[in-house]
Amino acid sequence: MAGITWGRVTPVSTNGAAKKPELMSPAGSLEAAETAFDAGADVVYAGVSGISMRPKRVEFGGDNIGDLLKYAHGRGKKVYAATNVCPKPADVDFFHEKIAELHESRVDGIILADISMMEYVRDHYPDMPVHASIMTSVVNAEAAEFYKERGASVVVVSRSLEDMEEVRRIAEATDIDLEVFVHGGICYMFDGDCYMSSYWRQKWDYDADRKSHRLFGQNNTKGECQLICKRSCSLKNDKEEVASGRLMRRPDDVGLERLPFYFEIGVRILKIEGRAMPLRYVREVTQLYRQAIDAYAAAPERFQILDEWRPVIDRLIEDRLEYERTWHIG
Amino acid sequence: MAKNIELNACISNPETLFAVDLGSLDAVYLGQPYCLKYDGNYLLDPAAVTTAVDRLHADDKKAYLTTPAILTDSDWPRLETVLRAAAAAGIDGLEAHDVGVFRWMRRELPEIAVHVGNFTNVYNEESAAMWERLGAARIVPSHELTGDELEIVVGGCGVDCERPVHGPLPLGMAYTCLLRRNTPDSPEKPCRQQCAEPHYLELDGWRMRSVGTSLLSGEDYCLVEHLEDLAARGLAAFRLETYFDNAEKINQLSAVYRQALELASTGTAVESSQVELLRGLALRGLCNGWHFGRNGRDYVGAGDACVN
Repeated sequence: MAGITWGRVTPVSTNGAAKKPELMSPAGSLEAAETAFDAGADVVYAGVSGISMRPKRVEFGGDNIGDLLKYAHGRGKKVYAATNVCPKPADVDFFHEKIAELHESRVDGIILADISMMEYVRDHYPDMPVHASIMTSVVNAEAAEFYKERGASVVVVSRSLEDMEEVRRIAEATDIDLEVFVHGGICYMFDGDCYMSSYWRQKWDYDADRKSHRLFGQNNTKGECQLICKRSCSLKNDKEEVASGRLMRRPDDVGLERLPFYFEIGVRILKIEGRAMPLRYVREVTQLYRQAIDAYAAAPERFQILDEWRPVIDRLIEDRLEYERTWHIG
Repeated sequence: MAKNIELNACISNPETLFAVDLGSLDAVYLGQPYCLKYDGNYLLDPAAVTTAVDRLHADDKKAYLTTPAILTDSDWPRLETVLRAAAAAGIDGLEAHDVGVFRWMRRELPEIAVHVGNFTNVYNEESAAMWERLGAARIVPSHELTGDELEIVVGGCGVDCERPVHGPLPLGMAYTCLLRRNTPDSPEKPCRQQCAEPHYLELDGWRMRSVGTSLLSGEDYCLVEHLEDLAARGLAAFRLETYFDNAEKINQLSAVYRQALELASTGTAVESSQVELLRGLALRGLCNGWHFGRNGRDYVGAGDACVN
């Protein structure tokens, strides 16, 4: 059960001074955004067509992002736009156009992985907040400072850092706002450092948005991950099979126990993974973390992992396994 | 044209360096970026780095030091000691894969040339130009770029660019050691250096090489048949990715590529026997598909035939 200890969690701060972090949920569609807000999300993140790290079917294209922003702002909520691929040379101008559109749409923040695009926003649209994406895999304080200098106001700490003291060191050594993932599927590789999918398969296809025939690297830069690390494999040396099964698959991240720690070190944003997940998943996972965050904020000393949350977590984990089964995995 | 291009190799530890014939090489990257636990890794031994720099300079070769692809704050003090020792020894360049490491190098060792490694994900000309503005002396653009894309990136900056031309290329940095997790060599026990022996992950008929904390291409990346074209795209250095190879294999690879570079400078194709020699040295065949916009595991020969 992903390392969860049921029952009382020792509070790490009882002075009530810690500011409540934002809860950010995934929005793969306008309907998902509505669901997330209804369930208690403060903000949603949404992919911009062709330049986010997920398939097009869960990205927002054309006027859709404007509709989403209008809806969210009407409810007093926020939208961060995920534009976190690294553009290849042929994509640079397209990327600039999309950034201009997002600025015009008054998006609340733009999530970027490419360093030059961060500087581009910093220099051309200084009023648009930049978040250094999970794809930048920040694992040390110097890196956080580097992205701050490139114009980022928020960095996402690598979700592959298993020692929370490493996260604390980053928080203590820099004054940039931190964002962390609290729930969802998690990669075998450090985010942004994975090239498995394009090694296995790439394809040329017609891009209707760009009206051109171009290479779709099914890789870490184009959002066409083939879930290689979720698949069954066989580990062999020259003599024998050493192990087999889904050797690279990591259990889903369930971050309820870490909430007190995140409050203590002053994390600004708690993020839930899953733009490609169904509406029920978005609703349940958002409700779960809304309850947990509010419970801790109201009474840190009484915070505990409730038994009633267990079946919810079980369903969320099963939902992710079902998502993988739709890829004919597992 | 190709004559002036630097040919370098990657050597992880003193045992390999002192057994290698440096004759065909212009420079060596010391250290192994995938795992600090790798046997004899230069990245944990400042005295060994000093000795290696002296040896390379005595042979009129350039000495570079790479750094970990992933470096947490708790590992900083150990690396800092090695970096300062390398600078004091007169290292010719330091390679940063982590942007934080780059920032530290430029601030603390501004007199040392800093190379930007492949894990920094340089995919476009604007990124290359940005690294130039930040003081990078050399850039290794992403190995996922095609030759045409690479040329645009190289043309977008005024600093040297480097391309790996041979060896298993990284497919990612894992959060844990796969070999220790799936064998009796548990994480609680001292590392048994299983990555010294080839291990492969096989999926549906294709494969990747596991070196524990990283996965590499199953096949050896190989551009020996395309060096003339590559040189024409403006690259300054070619790298042999030989972190896990012994001295004998590094000697053979460097000799083949030195000869191929000389032939390329006269517009002459490498002999097929040399390609076959490289294929024989590779444990699981050759690949170079990324360079041609194909699957990374594919191989494209001089005749443009996709062999895989």
